[in-house]
Amino acid sequence: MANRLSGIEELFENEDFVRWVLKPDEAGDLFWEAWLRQYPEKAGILEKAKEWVLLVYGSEKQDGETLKNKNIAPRLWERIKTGIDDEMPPSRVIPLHPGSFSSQRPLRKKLLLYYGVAAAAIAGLILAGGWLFQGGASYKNETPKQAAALVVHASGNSNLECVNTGALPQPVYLVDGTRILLGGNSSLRYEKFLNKDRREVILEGEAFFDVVKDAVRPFYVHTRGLVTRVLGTSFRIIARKEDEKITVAVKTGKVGVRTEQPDTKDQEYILQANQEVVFNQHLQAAGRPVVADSELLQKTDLPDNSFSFSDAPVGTILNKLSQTYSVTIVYDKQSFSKCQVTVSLDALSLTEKLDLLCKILGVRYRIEDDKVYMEGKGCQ
Amino acid sequence: MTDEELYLYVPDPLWERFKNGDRHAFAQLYNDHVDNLLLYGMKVIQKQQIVEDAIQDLFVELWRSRENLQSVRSVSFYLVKSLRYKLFRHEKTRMEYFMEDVPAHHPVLQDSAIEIKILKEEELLNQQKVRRAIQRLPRRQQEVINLRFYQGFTNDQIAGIMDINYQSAGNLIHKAILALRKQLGYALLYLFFCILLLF
Repeated sequence: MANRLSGIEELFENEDFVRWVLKPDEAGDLFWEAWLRQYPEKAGILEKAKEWVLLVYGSEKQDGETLKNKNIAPRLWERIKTGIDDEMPPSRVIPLHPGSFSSQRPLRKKLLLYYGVAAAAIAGLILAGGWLFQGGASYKNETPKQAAALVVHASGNSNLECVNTGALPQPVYLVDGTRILLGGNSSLRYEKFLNKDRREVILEGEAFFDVVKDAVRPFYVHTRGLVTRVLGTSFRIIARKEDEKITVAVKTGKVGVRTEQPDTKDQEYILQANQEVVFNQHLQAAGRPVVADSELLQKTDLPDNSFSFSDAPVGTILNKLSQTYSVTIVYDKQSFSKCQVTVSLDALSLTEKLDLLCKILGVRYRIEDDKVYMEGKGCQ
Repeated sequence: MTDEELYLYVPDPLWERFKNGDRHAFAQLYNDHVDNLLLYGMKVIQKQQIVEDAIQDLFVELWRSRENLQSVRSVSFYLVKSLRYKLFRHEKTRMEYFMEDVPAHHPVLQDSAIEIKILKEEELLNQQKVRRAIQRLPRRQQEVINLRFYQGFTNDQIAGIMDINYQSAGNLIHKAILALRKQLGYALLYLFFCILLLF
């Protein structure tokens, strides 16, 4: 790919180069600066190629200006307005929630089917994301009218499935402190305490991950035959069922991507920051990792789910922990009811949070099966 | 799978407002994209009337079906692809587009004398050369050049818009660039010569 770009035409044909010239961005600056450092002798070619891209752009723009001078647009708009006003006056019906209508339907149906069988057996812990994440005041929802639509299914064992039935991304917090922005119409499955020597999640659809570093327990994302090995980083994966392709784009750090079959000779693709790689339906990469589409690495702000409390009842804190991580916390409400705590538990994993909290309270906790048990007297 | 779904992603806020029936958002969408669509349409088919009609149809239909539309990641991709589809509903357009080797003339895209004067002379020289060279290319190549070098679409998106596969999109761009170089023969040769001297 980029290192084979020897002459002007190669640059001319390189989509990333052209896009960068037309719309310079930081990721592109970084990439092409690095490219120049690697091939300093090609500085002249780069400049010329840039010039030519701009010449072609200018030529198109000139055509556009010529058309613009004919004032077609306002005239056309009048025609469109007439066309629209022929229509019956728009009904006053409030648009349905996106999660309960239209394109979201197929996935929902499928999931209902999937769960319908076991529905009775499932100790149905269904939490509406709306109030789960009320704490996220700084989260700028683009369309605040739409309610959050994260549905968490918990089966008898400690597996969780988070399904975002809406169109907007929803945050998911893992017990290790990893934060995930789950895309619309996507789902994520994982063992809620990540109690294995590898941290593993299964993604269907799209998500942005901000993974906490843990050298001892690497983080793996499984998506339709591909596995992304994470070395402590943030990145996006798009693996929608209806697409044929799977895209992995890295924002910070490094990830490795390969097919699930370990016996094949398929290489592992190592992606650095600001790179992406696209796989087709046969899980073949379209090429070496290239500069990531900057769009993929935007809108990654996770809501500010603050765990700072001042003089808060312990019950409030435990409730929030329980909601954030979808775990059940068992404690003696009577004896804990008098405890008020001032503490900041931000940027800690669930166990670190519990450790600190228990230290303050002078109690202990244990995790058994799929529940957290608080042991001790609380405050008297 | 459809190409629109490929670009389902973080919904465009303006698009979402329009879908909810906001007429201002709809007007804004039109204003943001109409110039581009007109230019693109004229690259595909030189008949201004057909392009105008197709754009009118496109926006009237968009408004009428707004509640059933999907969220899109790239509005420009969606609109360009939809316009192309509309243009090609005309048998005559398709015929012309696929049959024609080299466009005969360019009635719409001629400069007025004033515009030419405004441009700097040196710039004009190259710019005009490039422009004339592009105008002599077959429609498909003009289209692909507009999509790549003006609208900045990726191969993937170009493939989606033109309903061809990724490889074909790459080939088409390659062909267009080769043809352009041929047209620009001397200018580019001169350029390469300069580069050779540099090293």
